[in-house]
Amino acid sequence: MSELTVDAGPPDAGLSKHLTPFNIITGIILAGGAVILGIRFTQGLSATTNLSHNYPWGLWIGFDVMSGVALAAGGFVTSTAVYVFGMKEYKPVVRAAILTGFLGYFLVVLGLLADLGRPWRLPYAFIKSAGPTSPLFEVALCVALYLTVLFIESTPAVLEWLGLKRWRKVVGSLTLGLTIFGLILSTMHQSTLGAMFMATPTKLHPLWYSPHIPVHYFVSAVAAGLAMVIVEGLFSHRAFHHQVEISRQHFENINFGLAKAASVTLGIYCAIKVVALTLEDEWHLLATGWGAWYLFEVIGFFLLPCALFAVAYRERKLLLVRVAAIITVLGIMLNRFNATFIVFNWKLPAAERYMPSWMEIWVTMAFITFAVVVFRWIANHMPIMYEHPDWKGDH
Amino acid sequence: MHTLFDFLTYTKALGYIVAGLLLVGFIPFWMFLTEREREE
Repeated sequence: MSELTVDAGPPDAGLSKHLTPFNIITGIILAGGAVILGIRFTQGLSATTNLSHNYPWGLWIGFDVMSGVALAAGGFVTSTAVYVFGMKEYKPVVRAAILTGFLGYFLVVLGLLADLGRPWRLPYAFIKSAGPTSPLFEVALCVALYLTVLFIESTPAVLEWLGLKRWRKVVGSLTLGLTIFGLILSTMHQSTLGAMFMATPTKLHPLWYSPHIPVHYFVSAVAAGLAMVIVEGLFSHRAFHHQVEISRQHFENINFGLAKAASVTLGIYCAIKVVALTLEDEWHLLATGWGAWYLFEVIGFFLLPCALFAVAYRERKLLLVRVAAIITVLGIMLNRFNATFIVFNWKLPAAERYMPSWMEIWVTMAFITFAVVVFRWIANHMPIMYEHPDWKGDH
Repeated sequence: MHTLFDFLTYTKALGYIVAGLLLVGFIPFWMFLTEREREE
């Protein structure tokens, strides 16, 4: 018997290596999310959410879809800047932005699946009962196509990691075409997400409702994308600092460039909101309670970061850039939450208003955690934060 | 204002004035934003 005994070290050495605080917390969140999703798919929306006939859209649509699509706009914004407008200095952040965009859109699909149920009916929008005059049809088609575009745009890192040089060359040659196609698709569906609220003129508060809401959504999504690239860079450059090849000065310059663009975009967004108030003659509504909430959103989360970005760019204050970016990301979320469920059905009494259940919040947290874990794994294994030695200066 | 035409004429007129002012206001905003850049 003694010949068969093998010294494999402490029996739990392999397991304890993985029991890090990060893994334990993410494991609990993901396991809890899986259980809640199991309940949702077996017992329905009423068992897990506070959705009702008055509020068919809740946190899963407000955050995962509406905010997720806007915050994932960094992918098309940075890839357009680099590959279409030739701003090569932003190249080091393109891959991370595209990966963030891909994971963001993947979360959109996951959120939709959780909200809609019956996942096997997802292709019905295209093959069984297409409604080409519906904004939802356009959103479905654009999101499906853009998710595919982002997937293909993400594959160079995978192919470099796998050493498939021939396929990497093929995909590399598609970059410009994919970027232009992605830009067209993003322009279409970012604005159409706003257009969906044009069907609700009596339900959405007049301060948030506008015939020009598609323009509001598109411009705010560009600002959200720029802010999200800064926020993502803040975390990923700390987490993967050992992989980052560009100098600190170059990284700061990228952030300042993004801040300048975000400041101008937020300025345009605030200007459009002022013009909308005038065109719809709604200035008097600002003196109401909902008006105060509207001013809190527009001044606190759009005008303030616009000014902060401008001062940060002018005075070269990186910390201020990051603070403004975080405020902008929160502002976009607040704006989308407002339209989806906070000021939606604003005439209803307080007792009938929607408040997300803890299970909806948990599932949303689980989706975010899932995206962070996948991003971390990919960035740890593939050339996302750095250029692969065989392809330097190419991507 | 009694008719939709009155309303649209009034709000559009104001809208053009506000949009014009905002466009003019963009110039000092841009000057403020890029002042240091031009100095360098």
